[in-house]
Amino acid sequence: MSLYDEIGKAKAAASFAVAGAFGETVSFSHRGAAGVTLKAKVGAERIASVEEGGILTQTRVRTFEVPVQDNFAVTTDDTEPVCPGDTLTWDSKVYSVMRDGIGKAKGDRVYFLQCVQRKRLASGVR
Amino acid sequence: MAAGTKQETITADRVNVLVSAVAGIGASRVQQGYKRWTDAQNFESLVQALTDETQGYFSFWIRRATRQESLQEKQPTFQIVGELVVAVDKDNSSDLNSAWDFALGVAETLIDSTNYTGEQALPMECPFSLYEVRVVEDRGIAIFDFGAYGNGGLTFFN
Repeated sequence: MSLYDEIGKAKAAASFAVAGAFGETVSFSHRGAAGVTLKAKVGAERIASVEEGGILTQTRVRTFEVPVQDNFAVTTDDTEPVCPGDTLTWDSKVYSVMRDGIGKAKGDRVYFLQCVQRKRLASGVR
Repeated sequence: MAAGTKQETITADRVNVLVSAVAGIGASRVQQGYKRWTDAQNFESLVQALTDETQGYFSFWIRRATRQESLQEKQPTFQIVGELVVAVDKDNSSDLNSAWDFALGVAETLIDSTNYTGEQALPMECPFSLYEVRVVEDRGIAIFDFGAYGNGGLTFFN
């Protein structure tokens, strides 16, 4: 169940206090800027190993739900709060936002981010 | 690391030396053969720490070798494949000319037959391509495919 489902749009709009009660502390960096501290609900992680050519890489995909809050506030939906390559750090792990399209969902005040952490396991394996 | 004793492995050792001498790569950023990354190493983070488009990591390995009956007329070949990975600034536009110049310089070093002597094989061709500019990372990385991902690679005459 998503944060939006749990608390509803009105409470999500109240954002920061609610996020503080429900969420984990993460650090978010937009377009290489200095990281800002946010509250987010951390979703489950999906781990897969993929091989491209002779390169064996582990990918960890995790979802984060980020209500609009201080340092992450946007005045209109047209403003870009996230983009591919923005980084989100949680539990000493650095995740990267995967794509634009999934940036806004579950209502207009909560951002549903699909993030990935890629790590090479080995190269030259075939 | 054992030095090669066959023409293929001797030549691979030479490729290592040649690429290690390329400005922007150096011995510490060349990987030959199988590489098992440790838990503490994050390759893409290492690439992102480099200067955009003019520094990179090069990894390579022997993919294909040939042994044939000596009376056959066809010239036997073997192939070394790999990849060159350079950092790019994902937040600014780039014509990638610097990255291409860097990659072309690596290929020109590898294909120069005067760089190979003695038991080392002579290079035949070195097609490569820009496989991907990956923007899911903090700064972005460009991957030049020297045959690791598809067609291409460094072909040598035995």
